[in-house]
Amino acid sequence: MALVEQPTAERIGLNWVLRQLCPISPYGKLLKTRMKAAGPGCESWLTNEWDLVAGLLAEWQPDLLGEIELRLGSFREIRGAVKRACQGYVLEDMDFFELKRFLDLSRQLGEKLQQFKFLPSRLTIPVAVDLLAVLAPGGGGEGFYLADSFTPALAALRQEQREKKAELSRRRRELQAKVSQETGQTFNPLGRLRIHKLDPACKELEIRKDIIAAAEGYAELEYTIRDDEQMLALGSAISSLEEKIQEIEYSVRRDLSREAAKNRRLLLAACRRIGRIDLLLAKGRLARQTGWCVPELVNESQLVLAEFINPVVSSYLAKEGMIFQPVSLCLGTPVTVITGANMGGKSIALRSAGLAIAMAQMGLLVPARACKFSLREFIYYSQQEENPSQGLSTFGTEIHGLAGVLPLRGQRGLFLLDEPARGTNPWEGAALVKALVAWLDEGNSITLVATHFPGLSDMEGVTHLQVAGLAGLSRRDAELQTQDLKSLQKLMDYSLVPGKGEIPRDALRVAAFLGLAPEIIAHASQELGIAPQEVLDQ
Amino acid sequence: MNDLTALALRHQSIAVVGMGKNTGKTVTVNCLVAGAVQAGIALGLTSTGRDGESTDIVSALPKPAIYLPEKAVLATSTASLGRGTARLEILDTTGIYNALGEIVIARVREAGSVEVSGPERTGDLRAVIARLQDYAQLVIADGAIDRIAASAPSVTDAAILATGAVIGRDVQKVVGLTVNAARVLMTPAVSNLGEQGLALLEQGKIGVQNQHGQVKPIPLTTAIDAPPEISDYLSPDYNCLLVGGALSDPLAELLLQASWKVPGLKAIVQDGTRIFVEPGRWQRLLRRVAVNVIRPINLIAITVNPVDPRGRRLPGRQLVGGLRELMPELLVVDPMAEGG
Repeated sequence: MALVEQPTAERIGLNWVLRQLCPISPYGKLLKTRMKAAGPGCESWLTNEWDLVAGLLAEWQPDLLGEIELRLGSFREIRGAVKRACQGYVLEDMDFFELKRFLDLSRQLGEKLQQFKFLPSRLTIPVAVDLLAVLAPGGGGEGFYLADSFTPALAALRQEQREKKAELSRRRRELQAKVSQETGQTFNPLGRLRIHKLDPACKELEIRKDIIAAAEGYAELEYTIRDDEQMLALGSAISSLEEKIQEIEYSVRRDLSREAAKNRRLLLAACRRIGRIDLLLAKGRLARQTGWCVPELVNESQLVLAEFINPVVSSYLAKEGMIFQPVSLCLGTPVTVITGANMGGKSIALRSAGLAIAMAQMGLLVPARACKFSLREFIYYSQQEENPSQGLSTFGTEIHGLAGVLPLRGQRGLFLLDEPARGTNPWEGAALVKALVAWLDEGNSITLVATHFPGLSDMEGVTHLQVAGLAGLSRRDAELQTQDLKSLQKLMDYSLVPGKGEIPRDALRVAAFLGLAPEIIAHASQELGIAPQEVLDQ
Repeated sequence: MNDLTALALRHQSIAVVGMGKNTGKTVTVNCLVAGAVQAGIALGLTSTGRDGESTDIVSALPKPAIYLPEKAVLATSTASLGRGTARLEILDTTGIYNALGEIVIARVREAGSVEVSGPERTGDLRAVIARLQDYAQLVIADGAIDRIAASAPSVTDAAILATGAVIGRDVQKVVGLTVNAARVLMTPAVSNLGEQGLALLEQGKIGVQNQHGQVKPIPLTTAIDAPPEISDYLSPDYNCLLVGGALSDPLAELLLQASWKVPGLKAIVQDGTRIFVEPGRWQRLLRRVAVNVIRPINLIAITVNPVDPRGRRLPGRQLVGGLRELMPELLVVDPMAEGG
């Protein structure tokens, strides 16, 4: 079992948070896909990681980071080329260009990163200087070119070929000039002499030995220069030089590929460290976006969260022009029960507890004023979706999931049970939840249960928290507001306060706010034996 | 330097588009390259789609290669890099891909022939031209296979149209088709288009506009087969059809019909390369409907290839003369003829 299974990651909003984590380079992106939550035993790695991100945030310099990000964005994947070189293949010019650019960029990135004090030496980006020197002999240009400077032999052959080409072209121009002078005809840019068949000069051209008919139409003929012995010799010399040049070019590419293979350790280490730094910067950007604190690890089984701002909910509320009321929690005993009004944020409290721990154990900072906890071996959020493909109802899905994880109570896990057994009748449901709480109370896990069932809050050893809800609201306040979802969200006090041992009754008031017909509210009040006015006066 | 290159060198980017294959587009490009070399101008080259290959991939006949001098830069796909005699230095990658791989910027270190296969989309072409302009004073964009491909002329400062014997059986036919194509390309710019209308056209959507610039979008993905509901949207008030996409023959016919019930009917298209209307119908359309574009094409010259790839030849002087007579504002040349 993974520390955070996919359904839980989706429920608590971890997947949403990870989507906001955006490394730039291919190496950072790959590393992100391999990110896993770290469990007990990884304390030193995690504290180290949090300190690195916090160190980065302390030294945050937007201009410098802008330049670093520009370079991170220019990196391309070179590991394929390195692998091919190691397998003995000869790389192509495009690969050498990418390797050279990788080395240039790594060096530039390394220089920029030196300005940060928080980065330990083990994250210094190594540059394969030897490889860079052979890829750009004599300093090289901005790009990659198998220049004459790679070997003297190449330079000599290419020079000889250039001379021969120039000679051939000179010779052709000489012959063209001679023909033009003697016949009064001119050659076009493609080296063709075009003449009408009825032109008297046609006969004269026909008998010349230094030109040859190259094309013929209905009315016109095209002549071109006939290569003489000197030109044929030059042409053949140029071809054989080309063959030799290509042989040498191949051997240069082979040597360069071997050099790349020889430097594989440095190259691959650079890729890894670039990815590592890229991901670190992404974590820093995320922390600046959500707010942050460095989590603190404790030995005892405990979870203290002060003013956690749930990034998923607060980002949604910000779009609606509202502000998230931070969540504070202190879970000490094995089981804590949260009761309170519908729409009072019980589920958000559960999700927030899960998300804070999951983020911290993924090596992220936590968007809270403080976060103190001991590492969890797993985080489980109860599932309640109907699952018709497996023949499971909501209740069925929930119990099926619980049956799998409840035996793990002996481990240091985090159980988040959101209104367990709400899909069945209240008598049996209440009994079932009571039994669940008693079972989990004897384990080593931390459990947070949200429920509307009575009879749990007074169980021995169980902490009871309650959503403040609409309790402090007078009838006058309520009348001032229009009764809709938004005003409900504004009036609700989402803070968790110590429970009073009884289950608050806000359902009818909330239903009234959400627009249920007054007749129905009145009827329900009658059933409860209270006057409809008392629903709001409570 | 001949007249053609002298004219071309007054611009920073030029598109060369052909009326069809074997209209001498490559010869025209080579002619411009030679002129730029003579004038000592730093040259950049790209194409829409693939070009400069040594045999015509459609007809399998040999065709002239594009020859680039030292220091010229080109934007071509990685697969085309080794397919020429020029030796190239790879300068940069662009992150833009075509079917043959990523488009890279390369500099010619030793002159020779090159195969150019550039971006296939208009937006990408614009970006690639901008990248080449970092290195070059004049960028040539060579249109590829399509009759007039990927609206290259709409993203360059100027355009040259290549035509030739291959498109018609006699001089009159070639001249007629070419003059029509040139006039279509030179469709004038619109003067009174609202912001809403411009946005709709840029998104490639269809709609109608009234005199106050108010726009009603027509919920159609394409108007190419002229669905009859388009006429329902046209009225004496909303009398301007915005065509984000191709203005096709059926759509032209629909506009002609609608022009009887909607006086002062207008149509606005993105640019002249999106108009695909048969010459006779185009003439009739222009008499009844005002057609305008948002990006006018600055057509500066027509080049003529009087020979078709199988050796049939039309009289070059008559072809050039016929075109000059009908398009006196344009330079018309046969780059292969004496004196160019």
